[in-house]
Amino acid sequence: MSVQINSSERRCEIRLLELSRENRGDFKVYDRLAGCLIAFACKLSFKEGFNGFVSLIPKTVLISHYMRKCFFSPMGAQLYVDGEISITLITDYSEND
Amino acid sequence: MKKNKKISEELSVDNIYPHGLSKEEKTAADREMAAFRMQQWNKMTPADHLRADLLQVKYQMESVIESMEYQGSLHFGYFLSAYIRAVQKKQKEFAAEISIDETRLSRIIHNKEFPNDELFIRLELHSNNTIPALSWFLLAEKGKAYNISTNKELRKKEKKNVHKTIAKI
Repeated sequence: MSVQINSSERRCEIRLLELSRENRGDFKVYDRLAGCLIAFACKLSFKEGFNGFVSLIPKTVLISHYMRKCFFSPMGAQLYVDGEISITLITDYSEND
Repeated sequence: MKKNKKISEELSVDNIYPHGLSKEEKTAADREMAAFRMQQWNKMTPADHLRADLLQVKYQMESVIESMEYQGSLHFGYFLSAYIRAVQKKQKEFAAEISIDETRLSRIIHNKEFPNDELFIRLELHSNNTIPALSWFLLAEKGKAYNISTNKELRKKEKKNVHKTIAKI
């Protein structure tokens, strides 16, 4: 995963997230890794003092997936989470795993 | 066709690829996001700021606890001071709220005195369980462990109290 810390805008941007082949698909070794990495970015955003604000620019076909699975909200070409939703992601993916 | 769809779904679940926007499109998207972000930030209530500041302290503490290295400046007192700032209290006011002598609180903040178990519990209670006593304890222990392994002065001082040692093995 590649995350850019954008201090002037108080947000972290996920630029790239990619899992290894063995952790993808029906026979993945570890489940929920993508969610755990997004939760990691949320935690990083809190640590930086950005209130958990994380944004990303997904491929158009993936927008609904991130909105459904990780509760991202749309903002123009980008998606974002912050505050309460970030806390939920951290609790669900990072603290419960 | 079906196989391609399946592969695409798997990728969608597990990957975020670089956006593929042109430089101009990315700049425009970032400008829009910056304006939106500023708006969001200004809309935050005092309660939102309090929560954000507390979680900043909590997650920074966790990073220090989990880190293999110990950074001397990020000791228990540093985070206690950050916590007091996050809850927007003066030291005197905070000392009264957790029933601790103000001078003692100041000594702990300046790393001159080691906190006790009661303080860890009081901090957990004060934060309404946002920062658990265990995190405060582990942070303090990390500082103590560092001090024990590096304190040459104490070694020198205690040498005169050990009258006999075993043979070198």
